[in-house]
Amino acid sequence: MTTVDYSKDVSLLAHLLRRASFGPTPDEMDYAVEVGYDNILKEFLNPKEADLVPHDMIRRYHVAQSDLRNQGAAYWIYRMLMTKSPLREKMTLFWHRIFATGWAKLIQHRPILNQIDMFRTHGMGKFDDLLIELSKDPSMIMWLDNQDNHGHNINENYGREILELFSMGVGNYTEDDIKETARAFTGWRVVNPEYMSIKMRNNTARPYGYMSWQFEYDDEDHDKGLKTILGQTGNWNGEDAVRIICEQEGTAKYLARHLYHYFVEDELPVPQWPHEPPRNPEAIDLMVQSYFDNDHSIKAVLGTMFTADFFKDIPARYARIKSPAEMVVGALRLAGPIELPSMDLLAAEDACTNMGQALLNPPSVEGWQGGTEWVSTGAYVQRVNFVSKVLSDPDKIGLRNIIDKIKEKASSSNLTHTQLVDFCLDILGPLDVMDSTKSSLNKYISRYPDLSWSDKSGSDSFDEAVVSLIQLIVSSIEYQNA
Amino acid sequence: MHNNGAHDLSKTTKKMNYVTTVGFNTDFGGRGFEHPASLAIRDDGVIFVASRGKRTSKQTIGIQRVSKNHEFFGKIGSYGLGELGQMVWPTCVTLDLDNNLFLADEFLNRITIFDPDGEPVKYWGEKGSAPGQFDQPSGLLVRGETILVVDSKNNRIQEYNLDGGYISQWGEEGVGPGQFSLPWGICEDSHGYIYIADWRNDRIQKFTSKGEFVESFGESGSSEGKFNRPSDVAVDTEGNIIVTDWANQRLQILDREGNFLIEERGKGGLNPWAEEYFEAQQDEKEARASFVPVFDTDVDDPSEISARIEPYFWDPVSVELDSDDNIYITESNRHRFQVFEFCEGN
Amino acid sequence: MKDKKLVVIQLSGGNDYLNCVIPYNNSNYIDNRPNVRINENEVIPIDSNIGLNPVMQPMKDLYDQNKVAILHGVGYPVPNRSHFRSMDIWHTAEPTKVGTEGWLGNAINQMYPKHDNVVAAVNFGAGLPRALVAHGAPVAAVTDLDSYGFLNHINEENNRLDALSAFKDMYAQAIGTGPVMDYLRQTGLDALKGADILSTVTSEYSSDIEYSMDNSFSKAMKGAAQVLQADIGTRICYTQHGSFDAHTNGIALQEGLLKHVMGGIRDFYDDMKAANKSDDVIMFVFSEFGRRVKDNGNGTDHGSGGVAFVIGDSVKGGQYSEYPSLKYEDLLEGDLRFNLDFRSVYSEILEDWLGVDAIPVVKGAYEKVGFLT
Repeated sequence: MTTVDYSKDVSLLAHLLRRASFGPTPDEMDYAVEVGYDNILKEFLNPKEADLVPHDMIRRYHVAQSDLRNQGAAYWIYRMLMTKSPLREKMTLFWHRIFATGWAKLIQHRPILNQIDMFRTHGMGKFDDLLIELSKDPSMIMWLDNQDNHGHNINENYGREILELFSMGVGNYTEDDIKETARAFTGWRVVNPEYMSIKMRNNTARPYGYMSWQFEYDDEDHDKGLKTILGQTGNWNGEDAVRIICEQEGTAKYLARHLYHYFVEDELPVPQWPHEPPRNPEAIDLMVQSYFDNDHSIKAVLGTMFTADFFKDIPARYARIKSPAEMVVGALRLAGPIELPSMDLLAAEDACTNMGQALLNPPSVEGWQGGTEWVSTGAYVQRVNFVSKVLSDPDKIGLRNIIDKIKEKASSSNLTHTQLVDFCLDILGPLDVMDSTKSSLNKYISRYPDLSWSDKSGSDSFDEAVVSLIQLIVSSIEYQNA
Repeated sequence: MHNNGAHDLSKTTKKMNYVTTVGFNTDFGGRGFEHPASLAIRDDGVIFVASRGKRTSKQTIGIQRVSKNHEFFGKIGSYGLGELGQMVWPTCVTLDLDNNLFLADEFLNRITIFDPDGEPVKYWGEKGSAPGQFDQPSGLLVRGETILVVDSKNNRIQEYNLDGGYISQWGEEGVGPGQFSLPWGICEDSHGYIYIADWRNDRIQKFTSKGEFVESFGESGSSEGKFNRPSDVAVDTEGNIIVTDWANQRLQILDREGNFLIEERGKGGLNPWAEEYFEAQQDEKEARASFVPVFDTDVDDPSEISARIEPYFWDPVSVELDSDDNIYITESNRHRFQVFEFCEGN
Repeated sequence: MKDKKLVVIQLSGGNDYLNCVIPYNNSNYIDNRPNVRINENEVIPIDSNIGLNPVMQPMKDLYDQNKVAILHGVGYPVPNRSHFRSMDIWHTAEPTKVGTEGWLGNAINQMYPKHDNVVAAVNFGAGLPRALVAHGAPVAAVTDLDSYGFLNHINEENNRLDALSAFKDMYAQAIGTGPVMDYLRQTGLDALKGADILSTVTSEYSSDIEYSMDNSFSKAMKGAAQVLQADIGTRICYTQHGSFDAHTNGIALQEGLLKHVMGGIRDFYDDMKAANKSDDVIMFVFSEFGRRVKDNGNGTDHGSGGVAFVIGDSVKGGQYSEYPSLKYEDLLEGDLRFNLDFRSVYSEILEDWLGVDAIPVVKGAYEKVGFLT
């Protein structure tokens, strides 16, 4: 296909930014329109450099985050808010949902944030590398008790979950494969496992705070016997187990279905996958093919997905319910950058929790299922209230920018009510809404009879009208979807 | 793999001698600290430690009184949003010649004075950039009848009399001589020269007692004599310049000309408070018996290295000397201070 | 049992069992608590061996009227001394693996499988404790009854009312755009309905009972009384108080908090009694664990085995199970050994009070305790 007529299609670009980023901000959208679909996607897939996070400022002025014993979600949300590589950050969230590791057991946030860092480094690389790093990750080791997985006495927890939850899903392996895989990972543990375990179990920072964990391979504790994993027999260690796992068709399918679920369209809850076919089997096949054609490259599969018609086409638009993290970070990005230190970030951390996605503290090893599970009556109130509150101050940089852009679009210094509704929907996406929603918005905005800004009082009242309308738009049913 | 414990001793005949570790992490008040920010040593050996705490551990916020011999004398001041004697984000404590205690708070943007009995007497300051206002004050230095306040986010030094009366100010934002980027700690030497940890410029600046620039030590980096966000500075009776090189997670000592002498990563060990804790926790005590710090790590970030290695300094935020030139290093993230002597030997 | 209501009171942080219900003349208590001990002359005795903390007179009064079941030694096998993990275990009734569904969330789904009671449970606090979470279970999280609902950050009353009415307009009109949109729309409308119902509660409430203390717990208990007296269909109210994590400053910290809890419980009880509804409500008080037998100088550290209470007119007052042995050789790593599985307590509350099947919640059959009349 040589024609790129889709490249500047604002609806399609907004769709991409809702999925590959956290929902468009006006500036992001302007940039996307300028460079076009393929180029923005290329930038997303190939982040040039690490995001510059002022760690020194955070640690000096946000002392409670300096040891990252807690407030880790606030720290991560800050990174999502400020990132220039949104897809990379989105992928860290993706892996956190699957490789769900939680501080409720681990107590300290720091090692889990180290795991998130590892997702940042390897999350779009070769899947084999990611699984090896995951298997060495100290918080994963403590989370699934691999420090208790000894050569003479296996603990099969990690062996089970790497097959069931982290690579191929139920139905593609046997109980023997679990035991043999666990044997391959014997001796993969953390330094000083006994004291670290008891500090964790007793939930104690005494005497001198927590200690961050470090991976250690104990060759003497490793079971060196022959093992048969998924039909292959050898003197396997953990790296071999990962190699064998990553060669499996089942692994590629499971990974593809997760990516589809996260980026394209809400799938059924994961426990039903062994029993129900994917919503779009052809899409999965295409992504599986890409996985094997590109040496298990996650980036390649993402590229295949984002350029495929099944992603771009109309039925995929708004076909996912936004996760709490997407709701929260999307709203914060619209409101604009936050100066440190800020209580706003702690409020954002609490908001994610109150909406049902306590970052760094998933409800179980199965992570979050997503889809309609995000929405309950209690969570709904939290979603609407947090997002509308964040967008209630016209003096926040992002909102000021939105108001200025709306004024720029007008031909004179006033607007009609329907113009304002259209402009706001446009600048928040564009966001496509039902006719009934639009008429409700029109009716609502008529409470501001005069929408002109030629003088100071008119300008203040215009600001108020815009933020009131934006608050209602982000409370709509349509805004709940990505 | 990195070996972070190596010292180059070729440049001095003196060495660092570990003396003791004072502290214990407590979230709910009582004996110990949480995120200590600074300490001040009184002539009688009482040490005042300002605990910054956090929002979930407000009971610990205040100024703990302890001694080098692990005595605990209770806390003065408390968390609160503005009444006299309250604090939110304490950054520095220091004493005047009459043993009044001065406390800087970078949330309330004020300096509070406590009398020698620990009773709050008065405070001054508010947020702003005019004379007499502060934007996150950090370091304090009493010089006879005046006090210098490092007004961090205003990138200036303000001088007051001891009642809080404004006298003068100097400094501005920038990277040139006499300019600052978020300065933090301050001290003076026996000749009256002033030294300031110019935090985000990665250097120590030396000034005359009138605030005239004299010279600057160090530049950005992690090798000998270079700094990464130095937090505080002290000068001993020989004129050696002792710096908590915060983001490099080490202490560095330079001679009076600024030549590198020695560095120290920390040797924190158990103290009587910790021993008593372990006596009540047999399970932890047993597990602790087999605990051996591992100094080889697989990362480069000094903060993460310090997070893994308990004896190391972790976020050294202040350095003070007692009358015998013992060096006290306050570590925010290990909730303790370590005491060293810099003495002859090999 | 449609009219039976449960108020859950969570003492977060690990309430020290030994200084709450006190084995005051046990020599092991005296020896292990040289610093963090309640002296015999201060204890409120309930029998010759056991007494209550000096601040617990309000509970003693109810105990004397046979309204309080003291459940000794409550816990679960292989205790976990992490607050978070142990609380999770209590919330999901899953001691061995990380559970997915809250015990009360499951109960709500059993009671209202069609999710047609939009105010079946109310948590007083931001967000939901995991105990109340189960897919589809409608639960309201209320920080302040007076301002509960959508768009409550809009201070100006007229602005909020206009915005709310526009919100209702948007949701009411959005029809027939697919199952997910329908689900969102219905949940939004249910939440609105719940907020509308809850907003009537405070205006309709009148009571002669003055809540004696001004703290968040008292406010939550008053909120629970308002909700339950309004008969809007709420079956479960949930609240928590803390933190009881008294590693230092042990006695003062615990007594300060217990004083709040006692005040709130007593006022709530009197309020429901005055409204003639005290037969239909029980309070269940628990903590994620008790604390270590030996004190650490001026506080106590995390332990296992704790105490729970069930309080109400439908409760058979008295002591259940036994105080676990404090003898050194009987302790588990310095902690009390539990002798009453919390899943027994849950089973009784679920089946004999809320009228739902306990087995799918606690994953097994547990012998009931017998504290309900």
